[in-house]
Amino acid sequence: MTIADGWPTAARASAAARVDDGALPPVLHPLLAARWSPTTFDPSYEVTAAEVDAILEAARWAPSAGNSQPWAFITGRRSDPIHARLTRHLTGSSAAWAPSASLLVANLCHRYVEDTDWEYSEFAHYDLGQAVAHMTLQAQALGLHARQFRAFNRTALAAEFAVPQHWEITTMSAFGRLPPGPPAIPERAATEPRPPRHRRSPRDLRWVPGVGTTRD
Amino acid sequence: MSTVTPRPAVSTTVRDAPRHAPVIPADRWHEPPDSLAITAEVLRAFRTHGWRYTEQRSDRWHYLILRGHDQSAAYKLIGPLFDETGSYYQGHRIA
Repeated sequence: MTIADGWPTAARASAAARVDDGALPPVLHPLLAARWSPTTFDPSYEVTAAEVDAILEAARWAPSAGNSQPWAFITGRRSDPIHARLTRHLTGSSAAWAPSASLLVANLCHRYVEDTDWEYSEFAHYDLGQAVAHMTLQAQALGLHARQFRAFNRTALAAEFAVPQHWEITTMSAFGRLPPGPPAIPERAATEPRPPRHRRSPRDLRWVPGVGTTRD
Repeated sequence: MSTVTPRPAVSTTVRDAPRHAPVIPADRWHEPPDSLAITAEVLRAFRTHGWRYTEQRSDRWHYLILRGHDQSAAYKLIGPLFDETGSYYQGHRIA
């Protein structure tokens, strides 16, 4: 089942079977349908300060348990020194592609109460992920794409930015525009048709009482 | 005939969320209270006011032990809880 060839159609047909009052069936929002996670960015595009502010603003208004807002972000635009300091600690595959991103963001989670091992919030990771999802969609609305990743040296990056032990650099995000032409590293160009996006069946999402899920 | 009453305007002013207010009056830090909300700010304040603290765990419970001012106090902690500005642990003094 794919976004490109199946899901919206299936949703439409399913909804049509239930809705007989002429109401439009639900469809996936274009921002969600168009979102994907590239590993090639336009190395010439400079993200603006206003775009960075808008992306952070999206995180700021994300929901969180008790409004605890257990997140913080280190942002580096390609033109500034922080981008270089973030890039220095990329590892594995991300070291090959992430430097071309216009904006690198380290996503920090408030895990513990300072100087203790008491968890700050049992929902801290959940809330950070939700904030990053908001950032991703805000970026999408600005014409930017995002890829979230973990391939970085967490210890070294925390030391680089003097992140205290009660905070964790959980993930990073790369933001940028798709390159206008063929990418420098082997990956499909933005203008070429992408392969279908594969996702589990909608049926697999539902936990059926007494049965569970069709997933393993 | 009914009239339509405009809904009160909702403020969209952005404010910084308030931080946890001090829970102990400035001249009472030598008398740990029976119950208090404990945050990182409160722990720092205890240190500033001459207390040392350690933690203990027993089963699923956390305990905070304060020592200073020729006395000690022990709190059983419940949390983390939320108060719309962040999280905190409610400390109930048991000794």
